[in-house]
Amino acid sequence: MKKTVLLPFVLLTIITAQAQEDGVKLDMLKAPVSPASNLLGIATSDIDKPTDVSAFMLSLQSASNSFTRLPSNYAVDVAPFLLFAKKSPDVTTSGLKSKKFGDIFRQTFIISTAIRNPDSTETTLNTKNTYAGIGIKFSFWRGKYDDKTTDELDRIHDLQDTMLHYVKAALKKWITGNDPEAAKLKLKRDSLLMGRPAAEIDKIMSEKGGEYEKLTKAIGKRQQDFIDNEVKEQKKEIGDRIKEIASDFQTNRIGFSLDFNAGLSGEFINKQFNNSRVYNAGVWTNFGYTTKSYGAFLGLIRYLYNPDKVFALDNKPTQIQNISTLDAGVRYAYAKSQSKFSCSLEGIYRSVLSSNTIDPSWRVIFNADYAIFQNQKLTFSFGRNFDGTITKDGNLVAAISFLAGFGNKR
Amino acid sequence: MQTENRTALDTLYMVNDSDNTITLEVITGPEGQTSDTTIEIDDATIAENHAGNFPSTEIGSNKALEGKLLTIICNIADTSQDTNFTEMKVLLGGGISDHEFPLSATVDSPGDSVNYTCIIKFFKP
Repeated sequence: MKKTVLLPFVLLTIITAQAQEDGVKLDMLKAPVSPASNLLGIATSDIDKPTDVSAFMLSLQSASNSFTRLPSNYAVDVAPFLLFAKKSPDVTTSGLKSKKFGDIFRQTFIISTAIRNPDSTETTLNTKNTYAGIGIKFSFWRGKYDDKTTDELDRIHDLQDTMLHYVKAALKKWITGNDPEAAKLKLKRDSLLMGRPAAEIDKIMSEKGGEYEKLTKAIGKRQQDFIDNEVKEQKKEIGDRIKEIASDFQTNRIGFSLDFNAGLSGEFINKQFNNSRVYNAGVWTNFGYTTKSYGAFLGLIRYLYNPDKVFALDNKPTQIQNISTLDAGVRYAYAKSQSKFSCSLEGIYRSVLSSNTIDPSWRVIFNADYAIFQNQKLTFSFGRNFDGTITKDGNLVAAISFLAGFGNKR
Repeated sequence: MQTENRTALDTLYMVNDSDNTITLEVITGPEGQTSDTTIEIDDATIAENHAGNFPSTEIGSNKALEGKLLTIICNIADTSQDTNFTEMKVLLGGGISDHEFPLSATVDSPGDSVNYTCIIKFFKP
């Protein structure tokens, strides 16, 4: 198998011996993870993604010096339906199976916001100004789980059913057992509420860190220890079987998908909020079809206003203001489930809408990789760049690059 | 931020003698985790081996539920590639006031699973 895969690489290496050795940027058709942050050049690792209201408030508090000033460099992605909606969307693997637009929208809708006050090390933004961006992203459609994903979830669910059978029996035993210590704690807890009006009881029960909460936690702890002890053996046996499947579990989808992303950023001159202009903007639409056996076909249409690079000029920083570009691209990616080999072919056509001086251009890149071990891959890419030059990537055995991943093997 | 694992709950929920309906919702997560839940009121089954969140459901009137015991058991398997955190929230509404009862646990290693147990008694002051 390795011989079959490596032979074309070596042949291509000879053919492209004269080709320009540039780093090849792959997967340019990917929509941004966070539209607002992307427009302001904020790294993905610097974006806060709170999962509940208190985490969101904590994130805001930390960025705004306990709400005493506006955040100076801050990016946050908020899923409003998850954080604030009365009816929370189901984002477990069961809920994420849904193909209804309403469910998909509520699960995937994200508002991204970012603010940036560039420092002296900044080369593209004006250090005298403040920049702020807002963006949205959501999916219209997504594919259904593939057979392997469905099968693994079914097996986990069956094991969970068995586990719940034992937990249920243990809980009944706990309820009927009348643990003397728990009974004493319950009596003490009930005595806090005896003879009091409903409003007062409600106050006692809701008090954070109050006596009622402490007693409830103490009763819960005894219950937790009892249940854990009762199902200790089953938890080990069934838990291990769940873990075998769950530890490497990944959701893969097949079928149609359509995503939408948009963002707009503003530049506040001399940090004055009454003197502003649009800095840049973008609208991205990704669509595609993933098959069970023949890989994924993906497409992208992208409009950008004032991008930081005019692509037809091959990634040189632009000096032209108020420019708009339109990109259209397709990508075919082949990767069989569990296969070590994958490859993709990507083509992008880029045109500048608001200028006659820059010609449209195109790029085609072929990429292939082969996993030798977990986290270790042989990769190869080859193609034509926007400026017409042939590009390839690789520095070990001329064209094949060896990427070794560090860290654990998960 | 690491919080203490809390997987069992025994508490009270205040009802009155009205015919207003009580609603129950069980939210599990976070994103990408796999949950299985069984819910009973005394010996009547409300949901058995339910996958994912249990949506907001009317479970009876204040008057009818007084003195009864709601039990919820849930197993959450860590199938998320992003976190080892698991959580279960029980939301009760329609009684004297609405209440949310949160439980959570972070598993030791990816793929581990957690058992949650809740006992909630409907009581009239």
